Amino acid sequence: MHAAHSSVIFGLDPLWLATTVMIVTYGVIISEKLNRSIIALLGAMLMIMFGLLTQEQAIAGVDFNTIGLLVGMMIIVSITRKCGVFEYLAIWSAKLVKANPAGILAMLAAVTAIASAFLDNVTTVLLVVPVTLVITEALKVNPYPFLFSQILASNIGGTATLIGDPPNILIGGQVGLTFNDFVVNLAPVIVVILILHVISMHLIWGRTMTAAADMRARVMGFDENKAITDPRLLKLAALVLALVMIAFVLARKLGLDSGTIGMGGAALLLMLDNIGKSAEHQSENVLKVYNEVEWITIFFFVGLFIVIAGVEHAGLLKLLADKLLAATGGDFTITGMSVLWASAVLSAIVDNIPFVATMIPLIKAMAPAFGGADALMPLWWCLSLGACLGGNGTLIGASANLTVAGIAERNGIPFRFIRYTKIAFPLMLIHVAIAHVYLMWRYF
Amino acid sequence: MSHQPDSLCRSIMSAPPVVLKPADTLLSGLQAMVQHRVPALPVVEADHRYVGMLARSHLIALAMPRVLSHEDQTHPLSHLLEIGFIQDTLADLQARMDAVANEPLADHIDTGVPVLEPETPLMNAMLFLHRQRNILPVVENGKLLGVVSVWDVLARIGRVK
Repeated sequence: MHAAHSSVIFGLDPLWLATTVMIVTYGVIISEKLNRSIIALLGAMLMIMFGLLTQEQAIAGVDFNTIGLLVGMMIIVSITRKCGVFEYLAIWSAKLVKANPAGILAMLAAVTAIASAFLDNVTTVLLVVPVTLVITEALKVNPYPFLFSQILASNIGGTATLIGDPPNILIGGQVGLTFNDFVVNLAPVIVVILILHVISMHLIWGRTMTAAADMRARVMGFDENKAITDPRLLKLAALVLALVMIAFVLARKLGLDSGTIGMGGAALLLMLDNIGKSAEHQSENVLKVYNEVEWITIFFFVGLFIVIAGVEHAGLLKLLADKLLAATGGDFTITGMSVLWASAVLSAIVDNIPFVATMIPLIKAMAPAFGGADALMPLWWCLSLGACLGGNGTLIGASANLTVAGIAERNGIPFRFIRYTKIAFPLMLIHVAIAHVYLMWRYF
Repeated sequence: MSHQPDSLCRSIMSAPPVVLKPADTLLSGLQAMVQHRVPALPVVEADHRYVGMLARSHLIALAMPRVLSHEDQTHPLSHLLEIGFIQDTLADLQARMDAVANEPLADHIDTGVPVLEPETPLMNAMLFLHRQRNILPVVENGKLLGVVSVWDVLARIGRVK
């Protein structure tokens, strides 16, 4: 059926061979024995070497719209953070509630969630957690609840938009959904879940938190204006971010894909940040920004796209889609809710990126059964809500969780798997249940 | 090929002004460092086995919010860019140091300092000194033999008596 298959080595069955390569690749990713970008690239290489894909087909499998959006946003964030705006926001929000620890717990969750809607989750926590630790140390309060709350807030907030969380970037990029599609369909339920999260954090920890008056006075003495290191850059970054957001909102009218908008914004901000500087200074400046792009994530995506192209080509995903349809009896509601809950539970235990990347072509393959690509829309929201919210379930469920745990441990704040999961997993189930009710009410 | 004796660390090392013990308090380490005006001091066990260095940058970090002394290279995005917003006074810095002053310095030793051997080529030591290290331990069979400091080297290069 495909030309490439005639050249599969030893005349092996392409379906089995591709499936084996995928299972071994995902197995090593889950085992964490090898950096995930390396194993994804090795898996991709095997797909080509075994004759399951030609190099041309492999490259066609890489979704450069997604890669462009990821890299573009990483560059924009890397430049924007240099002006100190995130430190500013954290301190400003803490002072807004008169440095009352319970208030700060709520405010920082809100700041994290909102920032995370526009930035990658890991980036958000990397920016917010250090300031949080400075604030909790000044207040002499236990930082654990703050960090716990920010992990959940980052994953919740990230679900609201196209650019907030890698699963959404993947879904948006591969299915061709716009920024508006995500906001209109996901933001309403995310606001509800976020409010519930803030309330539950208050009930679990916030209501019993106290800080001495002189400690609060120290935080009130923080001068957030001093956190802004470069007011000129702040204005430029704000301008570019505003333009990027406008472009996202008008994407369909402008006929622009998200990758173009992300990379376009990055190029514009790089230009504004470097224009007028000497050539040498520019090279140094630009290199610093490029070094902050998370290449591990980018190469991981590239490898993964090719591995998935391999199994898709071999017919595995179509087969799985048919099986899934048979199991749900072709019932749209059961299919949707299965996608939601299976995504949530799986994302809590394994990396949600390979899962979502595999599910996308699999769901696409169901289009004929449900009456075309447009009819699949609710399934994308099931996948996004399940995969993004599910990441909160355990400490290894999402990269942001592990990042926070790592910083906490280094700072002498124990962050253990069981202790985290005991509270986070039930909360995650409640959040997914809310998503379930919302989806049923709105789409099914 | 054998090295000329003058091309080895042995020829430029000196005795450290003082050595610290893991059980010494941080405060005594700080006092010794201030008294001898050195950027770091070697820490050795009773049998002179080398353990690591106590660095002044670590003492400075102890007087600042904790998160600043635990920054790592894997996440440059998490480094605070500016801490001028914190209005701490000298008294606050003293309070932070007071809180840890009596801790044994064993928990604060930098074990990542490059270790020289007496037979290490001089040029290796020069490269470390050039790349922001000021004082390096010279260790033989696990025991501290001496140190190579930027002052020893500068004095010899400039023939300062």
